[in-house]
Amino acid sequence: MRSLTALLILIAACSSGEPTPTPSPARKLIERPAGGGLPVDNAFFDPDFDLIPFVWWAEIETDVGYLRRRVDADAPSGHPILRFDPYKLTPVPVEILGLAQSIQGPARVELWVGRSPELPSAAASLLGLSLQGETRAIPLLPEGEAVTAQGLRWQRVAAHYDEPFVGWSVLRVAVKDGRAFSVSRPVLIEAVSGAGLLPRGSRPATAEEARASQGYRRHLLEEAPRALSSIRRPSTPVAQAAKR
Amino acid sequence: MVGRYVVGLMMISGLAWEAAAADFDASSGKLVAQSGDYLYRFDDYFPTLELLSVSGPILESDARARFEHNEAKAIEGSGYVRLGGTMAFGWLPIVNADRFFGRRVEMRFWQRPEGAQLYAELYWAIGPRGGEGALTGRLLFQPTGRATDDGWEEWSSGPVDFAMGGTLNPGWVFLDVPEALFDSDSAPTVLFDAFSIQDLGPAAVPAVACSVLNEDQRCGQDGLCLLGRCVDAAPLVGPLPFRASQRQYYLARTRAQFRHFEGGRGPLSKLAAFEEKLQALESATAAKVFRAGLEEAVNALGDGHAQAPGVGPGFLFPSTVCVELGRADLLPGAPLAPLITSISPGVPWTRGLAPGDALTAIDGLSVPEWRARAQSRLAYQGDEAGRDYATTQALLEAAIGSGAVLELSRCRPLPGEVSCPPERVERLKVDLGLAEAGVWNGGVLPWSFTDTSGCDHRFLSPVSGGNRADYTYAETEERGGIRYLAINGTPDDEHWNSSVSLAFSGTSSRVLLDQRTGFGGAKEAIDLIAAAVLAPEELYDIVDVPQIGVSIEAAQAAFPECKVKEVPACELFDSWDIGSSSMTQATRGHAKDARIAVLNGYDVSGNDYVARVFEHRDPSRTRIFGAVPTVGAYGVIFPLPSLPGERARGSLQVSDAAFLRRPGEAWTGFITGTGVAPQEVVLQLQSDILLGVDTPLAVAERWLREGR
Repeated sequence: MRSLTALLILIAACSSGEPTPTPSPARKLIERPAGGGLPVDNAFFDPDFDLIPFVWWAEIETDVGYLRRRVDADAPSGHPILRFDPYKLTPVPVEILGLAQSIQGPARVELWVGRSPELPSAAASLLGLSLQGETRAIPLLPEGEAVTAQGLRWQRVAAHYDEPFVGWSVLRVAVKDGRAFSVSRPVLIEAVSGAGLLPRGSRPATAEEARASQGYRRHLLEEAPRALSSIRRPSTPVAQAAKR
Repeated sequence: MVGRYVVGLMMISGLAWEAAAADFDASSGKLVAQSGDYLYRFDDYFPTLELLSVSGPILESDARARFEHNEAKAIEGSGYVRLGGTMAFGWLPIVNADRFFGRRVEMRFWQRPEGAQLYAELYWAIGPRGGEGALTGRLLFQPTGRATDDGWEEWSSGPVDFAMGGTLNPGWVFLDVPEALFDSDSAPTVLFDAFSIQDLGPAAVPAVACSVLNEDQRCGQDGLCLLGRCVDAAPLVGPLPFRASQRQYYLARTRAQFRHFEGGRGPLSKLAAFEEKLQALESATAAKVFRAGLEEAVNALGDGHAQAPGVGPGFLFPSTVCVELGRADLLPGAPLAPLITSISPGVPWTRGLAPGDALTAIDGLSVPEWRARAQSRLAYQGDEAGRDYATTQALLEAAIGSGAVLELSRCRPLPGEVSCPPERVERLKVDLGLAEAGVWNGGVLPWSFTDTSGCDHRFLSPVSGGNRADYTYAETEERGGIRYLAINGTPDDEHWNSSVSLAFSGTSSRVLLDQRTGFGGAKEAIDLIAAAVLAPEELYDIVDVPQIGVSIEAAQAAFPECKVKEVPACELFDSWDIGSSSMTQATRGHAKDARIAVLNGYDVSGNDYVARVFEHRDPSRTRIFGAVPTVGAYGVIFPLPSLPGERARGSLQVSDAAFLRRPGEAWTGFITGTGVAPQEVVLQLQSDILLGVDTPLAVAERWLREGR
């Protein structure tokens, strides 16, 4: 066993030491903006996927797969990723759902979606409630060029809309084949008027979308506690670890 | 080669962390160490870095495999450690660091996420590492904003005094990879490299004696008083987001979270003041100012479910002595005072104290005066009228933590006396600072963090059995023609349901519900009580409504059928008909005609709902007793997602509740922020403690039996 003092490297006379191997090409120092550049007024409740499986949720059977948060240095979005991974190749529909507050007035919603290039794209829509009591959908469509990273084809999808939705909105990203897919950097903000982007109209939600929206809202309210005691602050790191 | 180094000449006060850019060599794309740097390089296996899997210790061979050689990839030297996968935790000891004693330092490391992110906390401890019995200071590392174009990012402790209180060195950095998994080596990982300590100059906080009263003068803007000694505040209250842009983002995002999702209508009306308070913190330069300001802003909303994120261990000290705000009726003037209701056995500093003693002064000030000075240590959210009552135990714990001098007053009345004249009041003085000061010189504390009396707001429980400290506590028994039920919350729990059902389905026409400690819970539990004690015409439905962006009238017109479950219209709200769940069928209306006394104390959330349920009963057969209003948090609580550099979550209430007596009634009466007031105010009396009598309980029993 080597001693502590030997292993703790107190650099001595480093300025005359060995040349430092140079990465090729040499990496560059960059400044990363606070919050990773996410708009502070983002109406998504949890855009960095901290609250799984509460706010970010997939209504899937337990033997189908699981949601996982990832942080990858080379993510095209520059932000954490929420990934669905199947346990086995079962061709079943899977959807990821998330919460946003509706915006009154022109709005822009966007999201990065990642999939293996050989698989069909995931369908993304923002679901809201109209003042007629109806669930309506804003489809998110591809915007810009797709980017390949981590073996996935990453595509930003987005929509502009001007719908007076009531209460909370629900983001739904769905696939039909039960295979892996990822989402990243969900953003819902007020749109700048006169930005040259025409509002797109909403459409009635499909039966699957409406069912997803209802199930998700019920999930939120049933899983949400009415107790302070359920959100204890961890007392020590070990206690935190033990709770995981 | 010297020319490629940019030596830290910019190390000037207040800008020290920015000078860190000097250690990156642009030509090599590597961090370059200077002579004398304190640096962990991780080029070779380093057994002192203790790595743990999710399930515990690991084999040395597994640990060795985590030290990878890859000169091109390493940010410094030729290697790094790969954490994550099944390797969830690590303890990195701070050793051979005596040169930082008495100095202000900044610790930094670099990480490269490959699926996972590393969180690190610097850790000071008196007692066993990580044990529940340890006094801890903890400081969470934050991203500095410096990164490389191949994915390395720098994290920092920010400036902090190395030795807590001038004597206690930090022991470890705790490393945590939340994305680690139990059983999969394919789980996400993160690279860890170049942990360093920089000397920023002399310590900022003088290691001198202090009290809450003089801590601003003696400890300075960066210091707080802990165990009678000035210490750096950041390891207690959490770090200042030291980068101005990070601080602005943090505050702006917090404002946005509440603006978008706060559901309490009362708190929403206070959002402008809340936002102003947060904005003022952008210029904060000290952790204690920033964290106290954040806490104050959240508290001022009056949302009993809202909590500022707890990023430090705070001021929680053990409840070695339980106190209740009561009437010290044996003392001249019968003042309100914290009254001792129980004492943990074997705690040295409590020798000589007894139940019934009244806390009458702290550090030479009256309790209200000291409370005002210690307000930043006494977090409370909800109805302001309940603040002093709810924070009385915390007040004593804050005094213990700061090393205060307590003065207690005791009276043992002579036969025929109802109280003591001034000259017969016995004054007891406890100098906690003196008793605790030894800890700064290697001694032991005069108490342990495992000492706790499990304090609640009952001097006595009306029922036997069960554990009063448990959230799921629910015991019932019948005695003297009264059915008693004691609960601590409204949990979704089988034993709780059974006790409550039994209490309200019995034959007794007199029931006493003791919820003097009530931490809330599930709506099914509220419904179980409501269905049993109400007649159908007294309460029909409870509707939880989030922010909706339109008027209540417009929403109600659009969603008229919301009371019906499982239909699309119910998407907007959470709504439940009283007595609609299958669990309530056996007890529906069983106690609707019973005479019921309710004892309230600190009641929040689900227990707020329970209190309001009883307001809907006929007052001739219902009486609500208590010292103060309940918290007034009628809605659904959501945890807030962590913001960058923050791990312990805050929370907020996302809806507000309308209580409807009949179908079609307008959704009004959103009163979050205003608790249920007692119909009869009753406080524990000092004289009753000496007699072994629980005053509120006795008063409620008398009303049940005699109607007065």
